[in-house]
Amino acid sequence: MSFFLQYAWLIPALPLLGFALITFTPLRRNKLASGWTATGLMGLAVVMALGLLVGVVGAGSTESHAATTTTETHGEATTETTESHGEAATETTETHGETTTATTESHGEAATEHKAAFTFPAPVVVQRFAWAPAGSTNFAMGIYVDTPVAVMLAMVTITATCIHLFSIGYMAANPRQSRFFSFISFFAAAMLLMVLADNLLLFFMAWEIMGLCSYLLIGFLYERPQAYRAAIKAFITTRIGDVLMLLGLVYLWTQAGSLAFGTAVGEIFNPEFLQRIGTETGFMGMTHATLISLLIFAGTVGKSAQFPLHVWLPDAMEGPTPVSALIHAATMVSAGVFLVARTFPIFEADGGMALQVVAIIGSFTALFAATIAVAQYDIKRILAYSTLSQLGFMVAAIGIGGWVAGMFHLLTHAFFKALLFLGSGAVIHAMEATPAIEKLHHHDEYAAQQTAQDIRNMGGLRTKLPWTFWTYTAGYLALAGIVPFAGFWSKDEILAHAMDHGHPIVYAVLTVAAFLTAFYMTRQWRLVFFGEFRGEHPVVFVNPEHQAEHHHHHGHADHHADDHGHDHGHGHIHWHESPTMTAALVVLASFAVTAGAFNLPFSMPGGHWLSHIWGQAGVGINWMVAGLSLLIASAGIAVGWFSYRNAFAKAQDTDPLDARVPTIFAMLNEKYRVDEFYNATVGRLTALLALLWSFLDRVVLDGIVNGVGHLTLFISRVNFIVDDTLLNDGPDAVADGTNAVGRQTRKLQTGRAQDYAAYVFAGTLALAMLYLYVIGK
Amino acid sequence: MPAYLIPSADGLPWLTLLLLTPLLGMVLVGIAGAMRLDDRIVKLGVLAWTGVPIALAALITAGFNPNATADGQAALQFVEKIPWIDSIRVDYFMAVDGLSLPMVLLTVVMTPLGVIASWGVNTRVKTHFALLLLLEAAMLGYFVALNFFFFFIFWEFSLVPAYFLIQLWGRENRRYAAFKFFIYTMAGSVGMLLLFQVIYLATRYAGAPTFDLITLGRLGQGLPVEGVTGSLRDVIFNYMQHLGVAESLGRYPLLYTSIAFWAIFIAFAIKLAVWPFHTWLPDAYSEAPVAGSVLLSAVMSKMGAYGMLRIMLPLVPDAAQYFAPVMGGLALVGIVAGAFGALANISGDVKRLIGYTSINHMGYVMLAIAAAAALPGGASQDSRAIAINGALMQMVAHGLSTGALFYLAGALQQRTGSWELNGLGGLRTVAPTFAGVMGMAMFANLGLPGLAGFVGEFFIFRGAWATLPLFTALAVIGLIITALALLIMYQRIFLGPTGEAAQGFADLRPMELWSTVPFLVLLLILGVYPAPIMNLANAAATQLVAVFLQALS
Amino acid sequence: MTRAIPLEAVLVVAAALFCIGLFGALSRRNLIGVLMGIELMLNSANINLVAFWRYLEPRFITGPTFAIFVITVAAAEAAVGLAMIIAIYRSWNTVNADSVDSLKG
Repeated sequence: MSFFLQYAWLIPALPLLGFALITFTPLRRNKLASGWTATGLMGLAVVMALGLLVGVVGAGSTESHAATTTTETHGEATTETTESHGEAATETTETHGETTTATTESHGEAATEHKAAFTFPAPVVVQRFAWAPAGSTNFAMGIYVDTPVAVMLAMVTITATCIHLFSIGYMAANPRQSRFFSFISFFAAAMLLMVLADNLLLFFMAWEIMGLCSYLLIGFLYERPQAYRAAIKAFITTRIGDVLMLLGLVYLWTQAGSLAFGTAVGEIFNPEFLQRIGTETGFMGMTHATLISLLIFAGTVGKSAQFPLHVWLPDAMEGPTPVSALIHAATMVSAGVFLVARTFPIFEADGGMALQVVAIIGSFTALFAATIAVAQYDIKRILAYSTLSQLGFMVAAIGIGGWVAGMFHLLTHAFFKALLFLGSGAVIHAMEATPAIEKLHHHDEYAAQQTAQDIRNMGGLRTKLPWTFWTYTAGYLALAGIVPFAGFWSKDEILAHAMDHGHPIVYAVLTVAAFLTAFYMTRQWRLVFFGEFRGEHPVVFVNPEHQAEHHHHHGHADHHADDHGHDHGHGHIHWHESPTMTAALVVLASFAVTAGAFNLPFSMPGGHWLSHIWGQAGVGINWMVAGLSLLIASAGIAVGWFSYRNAFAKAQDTDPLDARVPTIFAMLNEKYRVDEFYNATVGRLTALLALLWSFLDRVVLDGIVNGVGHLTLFISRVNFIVDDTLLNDGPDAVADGTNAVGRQTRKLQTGRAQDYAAYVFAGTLALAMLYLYVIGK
Repeated sequence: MPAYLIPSADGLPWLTLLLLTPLLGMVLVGIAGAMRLDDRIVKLGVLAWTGVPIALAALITAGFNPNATADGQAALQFVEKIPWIDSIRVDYFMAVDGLSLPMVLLTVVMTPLGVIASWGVNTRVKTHFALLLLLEAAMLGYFVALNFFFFFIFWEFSLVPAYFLIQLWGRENRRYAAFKFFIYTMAGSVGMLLLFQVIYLATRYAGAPTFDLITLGRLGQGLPVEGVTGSLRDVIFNYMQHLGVAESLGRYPLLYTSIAFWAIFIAFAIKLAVWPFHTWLPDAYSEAPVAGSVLLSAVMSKMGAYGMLRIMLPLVPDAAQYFAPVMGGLALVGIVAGAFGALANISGDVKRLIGYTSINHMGYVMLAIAAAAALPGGASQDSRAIAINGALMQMVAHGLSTGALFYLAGALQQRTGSWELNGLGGLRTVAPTFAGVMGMAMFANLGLPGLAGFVGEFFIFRGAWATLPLFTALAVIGLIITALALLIMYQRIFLGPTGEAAQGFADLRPMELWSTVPFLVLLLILGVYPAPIMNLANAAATQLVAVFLQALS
Repeated sequence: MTRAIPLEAVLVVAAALFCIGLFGALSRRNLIGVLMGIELMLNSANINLVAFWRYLEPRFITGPTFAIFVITVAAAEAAVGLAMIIAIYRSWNTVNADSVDSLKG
């Protein structure tokens, strides 16, 4: 096991190698080879990550072993930090031991001692090197592995590998497949590095690189205006959160003296330090801890697309579907949640104020996004809003102190949401092969894709895509929260925590959100897989860009294509499921079914496993909450099923909800018009400021500069006039005189050497006279 | 020689050699002109010759001990000190320390890019290349000269080749731009010139007349100097009393150092393009030929920041501390103005856009300098040193990335024949390498982690937060808006459906690719592991800011 | 013997010789004549040197040393001067000093 501990840094290095190989070697010319290289290296990373997980958990269970491994693993890398770190490790291990023994038995005690400080399990691997000098100290960088990290690594590598595998089939037709694999490998490397980071700066660096990959992959089909606009929107919106987070980091570094994870003196989880920032007032009556936490949380709001910075995530669905699955559902967006989890002691240090904000934002987003998802038609957008909502669940969970619950939901959600996205990808892939959409494809690629994603145009795919149907159903039940699928256990743990720790409002809001989740997922599932196939006469997406640009060229072709379509409308459709895609779906589906077993709320062998290895108190099952949430999920499913049982006989029909409450439905369908609001305020303001500044530069400042220039010119002109009239005569006379004298003296120069000798003689004589009769006297 | 002056170990005049190499190159270009050699050979020869200063600078860096400090300041190394004009105590005084060595390295590294960027020049080729070498010599001289006399000569002299480069090979509006650039800088430094004459007289009155910047800096910081008692502030004030000026203007020592501060600050602020002294910059950068833009933005704008670190902070620390909020405020306005200025140019001139981002980036440097000097507020020496480290890192990173961006913008213009961003689009399909390389340069410029620009910005924010948290907090607006402007620029060039501009648009030629790759690699290396540059500067920065730990006025 | 002829007498002779030489150098039209005039002037200077040595500072030999120097220089000058005259003759076909006035301004 020590191999896996020693070489933990290989986990991000492997996909990075994949990125380098695909980008810089001739490998990129071969689509298939680059796909398999990336997938293979990710697979190796899975092995490494699982090995690491086993090693770390093993090390955590026996304390003495933990200590030795620690020194052993980083002994070579850094000799300086060995001692101090060794102490820290043993210290935390002891506390960790206490909490586990105390809490598993007496859960009630932990509940009353709510204020007891949160502690991380002891790190098992810490490797650091001096990165940059900072005055009298050095900023150290490195990796830091404890049990939450090891679990995250395993989750990320597994989902990433599945998604890589899926992409080989999904992207087969794309000419830029190699570039796609190089980008997602790079992304995986950044994500894994972020998880492994031993300090918040490295965390932030990897975090931003993920943002870059997200930008590149959302804009992967960069010919489409929608794609590059979404990419820029994603980058800038998340950057708003990121720069605030950056401020949080510099604030924290200023206060703590470093950004390193750990509890030693000078590290950010040092108890005395937390105590100090939790009590000292910084600005506007808030403590340092509150300010730092809120600034850092702004990063989460951006990255995990929480309200009010949620607007980028639905647009990010412009990227290829595996990207949506990997980055915008399973890993990157949950990095925001991981950030709060990773810096939890700081959030907690101020006595609950920061966490309250976290809980409010999280639960509001959970409900807000769930309501929007009810009224969407795009299969991916429904999932995107569902992701927002689920991220809200996690954020809210951590906000109410349910650290384990939030992290647990993060893990299960990653599996089943990646599964759902890949399933939707498989559906879209199949839809794109239908004749109605294929003929649209020749005419307008983007409209074809959008049309293929519209759930109104689907229906009855249960029999046509059986593998996809069954795996999708597993994901759907997990998301809806049906026992025993993964989502039930993790969501129930959040709700139970909210109930047990006195957060009834959060509990209520999340319960409503859970009901809506079950409802909109049923709506989607019903419309996609049941009923009759409606794709022969689809609701065609109207592409505003395309109309404006190519209307004249394609006017005739349109008409022609329509005629053509009628001929083949009821022709034979070849439904196809690619084996690599199916394999990935099956693996993820198995996790969606079973991932709940990682943290079963029962005191039995293997129960509370995650809580145990993370060194936290396990939340026991609350039968009332569990029963209620199961009831609510079933209710959601039932309402969804019966509402849509007879809906959409053909694609052009009105949604039953739209028919009943058209105003509300329209508002939800238009996402509460938040985008429009931002455009009208922030967007306008930015454009206006740009104009204003350039006006200031061009007119005011340059005006002053040029004015000074003109003034100088003016003064010199006045000066010239003065000179010309008053002062020129004298100098002119002098000049004329000089000329005349010159003309006369010129005659002395005869050119004859004898004359010159005579002058010399005369001169000598004159000097001699001068000396004898004037000076000499 | 005092302990803080260390001559080179082998006694060779390394810095003089470094300085003379480009000048010798000029002579060689002249000989080549006399021999009527082919232009292409001259170009290749000059490019090869610019490798010599790189080698010399590398050797100097290898022999440089970044941790040497003595008598309360970082040691100056490779010192050459020869009496020059004895009657006014002018010495030929050359040396490097942690503040100047990164700048020297930046200069020698960026000059070859300037040379390559001039490859397309085909009128008065030899003059053009000779001017580039002259510019390199002047910039190098500026960074290593430590006597005000030489410092100022090099400062002014660097304007001459820059002026002619803009004037003779620039674009339509070049006369206005060259003139504005020249006069602006020149006029700004008049105050500094006068000031140093007064300082000389004041030190003569105090009994130790000198133009030596290091001695004056030690005086300013209150470090012991042989033959003088009291700090530079006392020296100036005593002289003002002696002249009787103090009787009429008032008996406040800070008043006179403040006047000195503003004389110095304005001179350097103009060069650094601090708001509101920045309006020459977009004109000069956009009208200059590509080589001019590269060298102006990459190196010459750093001369201002270097001057502030070398002269302003050590000589008049009390006034710098007093006016730090003002500097910080100007820096902030510059950051925001540069960012929005760039955004206003997204459908205009690409070089002007990059020029505005430079104003934004130099605003961060200004912020760092202001923060290093600002009043205590509990800020440690480390925080201030981090700010200066960040500023130096930012200067190097900005030089590399903006140089590469200007070069690529030039390559773009060669292909499309226009500097306008309108009418482009979709070029990524036909020129993927171009898009990749320019994308990386752009992301380096907007401060993406993993590339050097981020390290500089992060350290600046970290340092500045300790003393000027409000300004720092507001400065992040610049990070967002610059990113937006650059991303839209990139989108307008490369993304979207392939348009007419893509017809016959060629990807980067190997020569163009390989001339930008070294800069991108450097950006990557310094972004992942910045210690090579920051180690050089750290000790010098730490010593420099020591004086600001207490309230000075 | 030294008292028999006073220094002044020798100086008068030298002055006379100098004047003759100067007159010749300034007035002769033939370049060779000019050259001879110059030789006379040099020799008068030699007489002065030797005379001053003998009458004022007989202990040192600076006077004759300088005289010998002057003689050497005169010989060299005569050689160069003649060579120049030949060169002038070749290009102008004359040795008349008045016709060689290409230095005229």
